[in-house]
Amino acid sequence: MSAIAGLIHLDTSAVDRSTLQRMQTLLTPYGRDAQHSWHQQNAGLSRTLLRTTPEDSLDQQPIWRSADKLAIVFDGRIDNRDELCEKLEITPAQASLMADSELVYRACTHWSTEAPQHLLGDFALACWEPSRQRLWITRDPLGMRPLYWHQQEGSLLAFASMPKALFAIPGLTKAIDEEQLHDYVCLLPMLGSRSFYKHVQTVEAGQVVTFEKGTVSTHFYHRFDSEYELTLESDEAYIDAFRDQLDQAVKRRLRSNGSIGAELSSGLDSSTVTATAAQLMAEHKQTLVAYTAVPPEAFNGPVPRGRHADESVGAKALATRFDNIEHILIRTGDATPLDGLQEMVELLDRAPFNPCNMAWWVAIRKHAAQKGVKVLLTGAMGNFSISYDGYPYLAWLVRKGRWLTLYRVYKELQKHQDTISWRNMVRPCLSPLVPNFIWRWRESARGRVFRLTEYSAVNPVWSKQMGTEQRAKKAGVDTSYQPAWQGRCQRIQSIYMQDKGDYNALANTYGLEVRDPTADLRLIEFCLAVPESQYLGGGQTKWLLRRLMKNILPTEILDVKTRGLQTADWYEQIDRSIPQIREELEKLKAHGSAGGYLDIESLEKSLDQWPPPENAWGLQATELRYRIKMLRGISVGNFIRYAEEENE
Amino acid sequence: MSLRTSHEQALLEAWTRTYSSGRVTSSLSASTQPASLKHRGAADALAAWRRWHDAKHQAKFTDSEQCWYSLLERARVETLAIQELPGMAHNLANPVATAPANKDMAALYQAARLIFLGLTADHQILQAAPGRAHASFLKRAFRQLKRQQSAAPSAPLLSDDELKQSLEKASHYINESSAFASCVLPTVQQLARFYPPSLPSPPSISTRQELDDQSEEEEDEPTMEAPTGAELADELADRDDQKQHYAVFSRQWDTVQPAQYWLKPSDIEALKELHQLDQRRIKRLAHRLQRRLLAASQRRWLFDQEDGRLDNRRLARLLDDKPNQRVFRIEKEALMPEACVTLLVDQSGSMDIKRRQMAATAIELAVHTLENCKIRCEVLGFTTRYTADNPLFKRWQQLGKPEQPGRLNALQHIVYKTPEQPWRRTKQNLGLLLRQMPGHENIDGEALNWAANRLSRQPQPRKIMIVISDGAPYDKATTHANGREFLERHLRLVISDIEKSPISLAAIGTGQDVARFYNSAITVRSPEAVAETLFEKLGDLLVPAQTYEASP
Repeated sequence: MSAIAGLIHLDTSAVDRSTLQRMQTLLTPYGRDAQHSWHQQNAGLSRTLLRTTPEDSLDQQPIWRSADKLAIVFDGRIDNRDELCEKLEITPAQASLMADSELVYRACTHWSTEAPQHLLGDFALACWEPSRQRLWITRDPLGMRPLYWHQQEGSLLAFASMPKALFAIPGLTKAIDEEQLHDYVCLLPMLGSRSFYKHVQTVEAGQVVTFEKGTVSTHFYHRFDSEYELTLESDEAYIDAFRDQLDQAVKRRLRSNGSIGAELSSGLDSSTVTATAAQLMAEHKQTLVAYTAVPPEAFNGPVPRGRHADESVGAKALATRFDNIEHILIRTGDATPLDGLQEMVELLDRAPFNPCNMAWWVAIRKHAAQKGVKVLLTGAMGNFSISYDGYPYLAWLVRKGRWLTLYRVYKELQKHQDTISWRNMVRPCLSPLVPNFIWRWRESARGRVFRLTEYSAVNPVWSKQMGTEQRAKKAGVDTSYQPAWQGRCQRIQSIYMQDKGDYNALANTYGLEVRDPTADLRLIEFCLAVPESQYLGGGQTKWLLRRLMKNILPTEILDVKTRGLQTADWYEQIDRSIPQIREELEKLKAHGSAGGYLDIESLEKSLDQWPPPENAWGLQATELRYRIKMLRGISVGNFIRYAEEENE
Repeated sequence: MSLRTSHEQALLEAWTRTYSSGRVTSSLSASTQPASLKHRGAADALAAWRRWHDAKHQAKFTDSEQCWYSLLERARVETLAIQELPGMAHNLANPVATAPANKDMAALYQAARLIFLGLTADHQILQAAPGRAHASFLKRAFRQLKRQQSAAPSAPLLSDDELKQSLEKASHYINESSAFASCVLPTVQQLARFYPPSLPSPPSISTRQELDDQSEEEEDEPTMEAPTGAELADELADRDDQKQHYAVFSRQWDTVQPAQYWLKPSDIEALKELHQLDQRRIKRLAHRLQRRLLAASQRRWLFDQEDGRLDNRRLARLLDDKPNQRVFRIEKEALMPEACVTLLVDQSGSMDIKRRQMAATAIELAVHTLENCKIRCEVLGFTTRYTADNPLFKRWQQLGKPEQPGRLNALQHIVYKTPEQPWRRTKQNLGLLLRQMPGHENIDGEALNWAANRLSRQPQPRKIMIVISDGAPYDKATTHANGREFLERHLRLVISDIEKSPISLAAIGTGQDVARFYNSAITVRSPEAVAETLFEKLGDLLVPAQTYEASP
């Protein structure tokens, strides 16, 4: 994994090497193993490298060949090396001496801007053609590696893996993009090419941005198909195909120059990834280090209905099934969500979305890095791929008038779960189909629609100015969270809202690479193409995955009726951090602009009312008020202080 | 002999072809050449002359003016060399070493070099009136001299200030030889009139050098004293802000004071608390730095060489079947040259107590270690004077808020320790560093300029400045009136100027990334890492990377 940067002087003056050097210095924490730059006339490229694959030892970037008149910097991992070599007529012997970046270089010379279509893996790439004075930059279809760019009209063009490197450019300040900040505080999706910073743009997932002769053009080389459906002869054929896809997705992510670890909770996604990786690694007599974050040993606090606090039960049961899993429980002790918040903001160049989870998130990465783990597997995108629950299928059947099929599905569900009655079926079958205003009215009447100020720390005056509701509508976001009846479209929309790039780059600062097999492009495409009936059947949700993992995962995971709750001891953590929160709020009050964005008064009021009554601990409203609104508000406040530095 | 001359000629032609774009430059006259041609800088000075001097502009000057023009032209071309070529910058770092032998010319040359680099020349340029200055040489012919003086026209009035102003004006044209020549023409004419034509030509370099050495020693003494507040205020007033596209609304409230001026008894109490902190790890790091510095300052032998002094212990190799010629040894000189280190600390409100404590601990041990290694060190702090009750801001408002007023807060620059002061007498000043200053701002650009000016006056050839800061420059009033990029732009310009000068600049960011401003910067995330990074950086800057010449 690398971090990359580049600087092009559009007026053809000599590149500012000093700025390029500063950009490289700023990206060094993301690529601690090697730092190199290249410059020629009006262009300069730089990359910092973290070696995570055996081929990374061969990496010699930036690559420039005068014969081809092409220079590239590449950040990422290519998962289809063999396919690529075949297409490019590279022999296995030659390929064994080529880093991923070298293969990508060959692909760029061969296919030019079409090259990303032939690449599989997590990547960001920049390609400079001095003869045409053309630069094109791109990211993988899921945006697993970050890439930002900045253009000064007619004079300068720059790109970098993280925005901080762009701020090395004289004259470019960290001015906040208020619209993006607003959307983030209000939990609206940040779509499009705008970033948190006014003068910095991001390359969208699956997009190619081309700069040539003073113009910028963009096109998407990859979009998910919501129409395509895979038809196989039997249910077993779907399982076989799914097994093949999953094995391939995990296998592609086991190429490492060090130990391999995995995040293991009691959920289906991470346990599927861990079990599959353990099976594949057992063939090579390799050990997998599995990490489970658990609350303090004496923790016995309340958790919301349908959730469980200790995820180690299922995780331990899985680990005991495999001889080659070394299971490590991570307890964060007396850590608070605010302990490393400032550092996190600085390394991410943005506000962490869920600061409550950052303590164990960081603890796992630090422990893994100390243990020599170079690759950490996760299942973060599983909800949109392998463990899709299939509920929208019910509404789809109603809408299409497939009453017989619906009755059969209902009977199967009832057979599997005694508690299910026709009353329970009404909600999933009809709620996606009723007009939104009726849904909203009904949910409001039942107290299930929360007002913006209940879960967001946004300043109401600012929210009014920005027109939160209108922005939500424009972005196609339903703030009442009405379920959808088109499962495939819903998943595709959710995938586009994900942007893991910055967090993956953050993991690199600990010296390891996070890889998510559930975010494998081919696996996701397969899961999207599988008919909905394969996900809701046999009386079960997530039927496809449950069938696949039936004899592999323990019953403690497969049959558990509750879901694990990350950082279940969040209120104990908040209780410990009350003085820190108060200090932080004081700083925000003294800050010139933070008060305009955030409702600091209401946060202070919440703090004054801490702790809530005993019987309110498990309520969703309490969680929203403190865990979501307060901590996210503090996180955003910290980011505002980072971007608009003052001496408060 | 003729062979050697032709070889030299060939080399000269090759050099002209390669580096001078085929342009043939006139030779530098003997009077304006560096006094000692043995110094590496002298060779570079001559090379710079050949590279950048354009002979056609000499036609603008009369014979008596040629030497003065050449002198200023030398300062110009060497400034260009310093800015463009880092290797030459190192060799030309000390203008004293490359100055001409003549004392008057040397003074002017040194002043021009400093001013062209954007620094302040605070020494006297014009010596005493020519007649008085050379009276000792003419004692035996006193009456004859008096007659000559009475017959000669009286020396025109020319003051140091005027000369410095002219040089500052000329510094804007150092990239344009033609404009530069036109700009310095009136000054050169004045100089030619001020000094009788006979004076600039050096009578005998060796004799004059001895005299100069004596007088330089005498003149150096005052610079060894701690600068007074008035001198520092003058220095600030002299700085060429216009050159950096920077403006200051008023300097009336700026202060530069020794730390004792602000120190309170409570600060000293805070310092005592600091000493109660566990400093074992930091002390270990300081010892490691001391060992590294001392090891580097010792001479050592390189063995297995092909020439040098015979190494008795390896003579037996000559008797082997395959005799090995590597039986010599060479004494390697100390790697570490004399150096002066400036530690500049940001004392703005954002530096919280933990960061201040760690910075103070690190500085205390670093200065102690440097003193033990006989490396001179200066400790400076910077912040602003006013928070809410800011008189500059009020004045600006009273004047109807004119656009782009420039800096709108008063500087508070603090001298904790000058290079001359022993640490044992000044270390209690660090108590002031521990005082929290909520709301006080940081105007880094001017602070760096101030510290760089002080450091450039130090005689040590190696100059190192380390800035300990926690982010970008910020002053609420200034930002309000000029925009956020105003102070950042100035900081970048100042850093760029310093990095072109012989000063090695590095920054330690405590929290925020300072690498977006400094080419050499490290960001430390925990306060504990400040000391570790500071010692490591000091070691790297003071002990240059070694190149091992010995082969196995």
